[in-house]
Amino acid sequence: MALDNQKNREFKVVGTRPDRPDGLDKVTGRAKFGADAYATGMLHAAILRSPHAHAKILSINTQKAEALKGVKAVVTRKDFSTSVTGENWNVLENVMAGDTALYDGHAIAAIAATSSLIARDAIKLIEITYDIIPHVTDVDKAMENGAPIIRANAGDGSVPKGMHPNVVRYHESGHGDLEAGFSSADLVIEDTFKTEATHQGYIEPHACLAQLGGDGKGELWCCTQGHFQVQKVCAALLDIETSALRVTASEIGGGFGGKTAIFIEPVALALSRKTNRPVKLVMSRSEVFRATGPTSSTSMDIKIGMKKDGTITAGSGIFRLQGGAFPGAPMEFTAMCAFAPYNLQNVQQIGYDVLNNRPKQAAYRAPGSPMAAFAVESVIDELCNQLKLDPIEVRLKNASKEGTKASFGPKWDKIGLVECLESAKNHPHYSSPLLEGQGRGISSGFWFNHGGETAVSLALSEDGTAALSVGTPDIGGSRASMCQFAAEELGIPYEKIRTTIADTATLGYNEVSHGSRVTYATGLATIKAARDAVKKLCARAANKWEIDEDAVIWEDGCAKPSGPNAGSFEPMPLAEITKKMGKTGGPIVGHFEATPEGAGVSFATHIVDAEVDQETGKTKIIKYTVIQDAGKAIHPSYVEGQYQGGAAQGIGWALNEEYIYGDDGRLQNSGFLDYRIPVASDLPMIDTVIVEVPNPGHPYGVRGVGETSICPPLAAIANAVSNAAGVRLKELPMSPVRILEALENKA
Amino acid sequence: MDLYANNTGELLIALVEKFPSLKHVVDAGVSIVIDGKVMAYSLSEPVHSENEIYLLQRIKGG
Amino acid sequence: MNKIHVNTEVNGDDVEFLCDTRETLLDALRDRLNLTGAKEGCGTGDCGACSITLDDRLVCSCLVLGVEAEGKSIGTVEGIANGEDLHPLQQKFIEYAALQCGICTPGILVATEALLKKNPDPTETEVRYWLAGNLCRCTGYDKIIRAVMDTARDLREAS
Repeated sequence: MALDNQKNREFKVVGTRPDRPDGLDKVTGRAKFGADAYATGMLHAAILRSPHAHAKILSINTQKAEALKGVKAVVTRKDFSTSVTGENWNVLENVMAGDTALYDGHAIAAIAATSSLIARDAIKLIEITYDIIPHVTDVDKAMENGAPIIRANAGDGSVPKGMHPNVVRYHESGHGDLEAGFSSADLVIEDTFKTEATHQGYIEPHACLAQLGGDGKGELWCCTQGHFQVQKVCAALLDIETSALRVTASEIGGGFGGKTAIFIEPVALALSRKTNRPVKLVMSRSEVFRATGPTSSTSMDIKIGMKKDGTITAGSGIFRLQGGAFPGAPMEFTAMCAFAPYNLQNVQQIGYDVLNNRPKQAAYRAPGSPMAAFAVESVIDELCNQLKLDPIEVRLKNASKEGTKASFGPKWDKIGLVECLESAKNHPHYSSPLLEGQGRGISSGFWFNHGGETAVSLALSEDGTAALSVGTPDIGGSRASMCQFAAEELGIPYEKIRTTIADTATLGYNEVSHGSRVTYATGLATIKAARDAVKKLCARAANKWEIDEDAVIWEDGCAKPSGPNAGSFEPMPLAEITKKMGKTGGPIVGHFEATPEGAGVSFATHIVDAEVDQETGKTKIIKYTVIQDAGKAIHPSYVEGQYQGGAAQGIGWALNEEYIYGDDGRLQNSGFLDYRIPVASDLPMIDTVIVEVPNPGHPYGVRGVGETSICPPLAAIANAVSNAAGVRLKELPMSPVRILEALENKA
Repeated sequence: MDLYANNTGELLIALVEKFPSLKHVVDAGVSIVIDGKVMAYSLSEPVHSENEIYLLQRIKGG
Repeated sequence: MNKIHVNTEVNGDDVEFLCDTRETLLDALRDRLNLTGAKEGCGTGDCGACSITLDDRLVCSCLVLGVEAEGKSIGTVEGIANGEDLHPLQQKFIEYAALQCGICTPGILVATEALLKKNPDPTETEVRYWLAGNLCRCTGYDKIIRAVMDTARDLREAS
């Protein structure tokens, strides 16, 4: 699966900007998203959710609800499997409460009725008796003596003795001698940083249409980042066989990691099984905020030592993350990403995963990494300011490179951090003048990226066109890139390839679209499948020409003799071979199944200029530049799109977005009015630079790009705001209230 | 440390045998890094005594 | 549970449907008339994914009751193209990659078409403020604004 050995390959389709194949459907409203499916005899479902942050469920009485005309079935936890364990148990406990409501919004029961209005009326008639018990929604408070215990014995055995039972997992990594490192520094800065939970904020709420018969066979339509995972998990939760459930992924209206988790599909399936009718379940926006998967909130202690010449002598970080009422807060990624951009002799990272009475966290682009960057890059910036050093020069001086030891242990393979930093240093943005009241911030950012199980199939039609079936939902425009890969390898025009996201019955298992893996892994698989098809096409030509298969090459979409010794035959175009394929050996299909290892990491550098209004505390983003390593940009417009999208989300996270919990443990801002994401008038144009340091693990050098773009913004903006306002903010978001408070305290 | 293993799969089994408290972590999913190359899944990747090997919690994304 | 019979005009066609008094116009368009282009992103008028025109006025259809459509003229994303011919805005959006997941696209197209009808020569700031009621989480708005500005220029030059 390594980088191709064709050094001077001139790509014909890859690297260009063709129209995306699903564009027409999306601009005309024809594209079908999760809630756009309808079935004859369909029922509508609604879920009853706990209004309490933490409460024992003493009784559930559904009599009145079931008596309402139009109500066809009720489900509770009793209607699901009792034999799931491990992470499946966590998912089930979250999908429908057992004996305890663990957070405001936790699902307790669900109703299917003949209309969505009746279903919503009916859930109000379900009578639940609760015994409200103390709750905790703060990560630090949940670790203190006396904090309410969310679940006893939920730890995995790695947690140091003596910690509160809410601490369920532990991470420690690093190397060298911290004490020696700090003592040799000229300046040591130690500080604590906090970030609040945010939501991925996809505009499309979760929605599905489920059908499950008493014979254990089912069909499910849902918006998801991974329908094969949905199939696997739903089968387990409903005690049915995996292959008996066919899942089709709809178009998806945003995911960013939040739709790699399962919340409503098992409920719709259970209701369908009980009623023997299709059931449609759509979440409201408020339900999405209260009961899907926001990020962790964090509390982080950072200590970094630097010499006068900018050498970082030591770095340490303690990262406390809460991931809701279940283990899984990505504290290990926070810990591993924190110092990843730096080549340190002495470094240590410690992470704690803490339970809270909050919803079960889910990934948001690069889970855990943005918060780490916020803390570490803020301290680096502070050190640079106090030692009067240039922030990019310092980062270059200490930069991780191929062969240096990463903060979390292994030696780096080929990476593009230095290239990004150099590009930033030479970018006109970096040297452009700042006006009064404006400040500039820089930050590095890092994400691992991922390979994962992948299976694709490329079927050729007799008219010389091709149908590519992939199993990774298109969350960013990947179908265009897949068509480009196939067109490049087959040598036929881009327009002659149609890429479809196939259902679970059509392909082998595909891991969810996450980890920036699709262009890397599905792309790699598409290249391999196309080469497989090409091999078969060449075999047909060889047969016709009566020469050895090895004597046939594929060039410009045609089979050709490999040289004058092979024979003199006219090139045989693909369409000529496929026209007769039924008679020359049968259908020609290329396919590839594997778990590719070798996803390349992606580093980024962001530059941002911000202006702070000292009277109102409002921050305006004046200028923003994203510089990131893509390895090889297949469709530059969609790579730019990922850069801009991640930056915009980071801007919202840095300045406005936060989960606000009341003293009663209830979410106070479960709507777009009070959970304020960036709107068009908040942002400037976002400039992008695509750096290409090829990934040795992919035939064309592709690195995933979807996630890293959210890693630098929190710190870059914090640094810009600090430099603009003259005060360092250590808590996100840097809302006007917080900025005014900080300015007041300074004065 | 001393362990006997021919490939990544055997390595994990040997580790858990020697350090039973690692079982939870391994079951939850680990990526094995061999000389800087991350193996997120493969249990059949060969390992040799000269390799530098790290275990990381399994990389997942968003 | 008595449904009301509503007569209205959508994208130039006379249509009728039955709806509950509690249903929104968004519900009626989607569930009664199978016009699923308008999307429910929030149900509270904050995201603009349900944008339509009601007697040429840009509104959130989730804030209008189904019964209020009686006797009115409605414009949805399905009416923007002219048969097979896409509106220049739609063409430009595809060309400029001004959409990623596409869920906000119908609302943004309806809103932008309404803007250009009212003001064929908007500044970047005017476009941004006009679209402030249409949330997009994927693109950061950059390519959307460029597509709108360039389409406006193309339309001005063509006329």
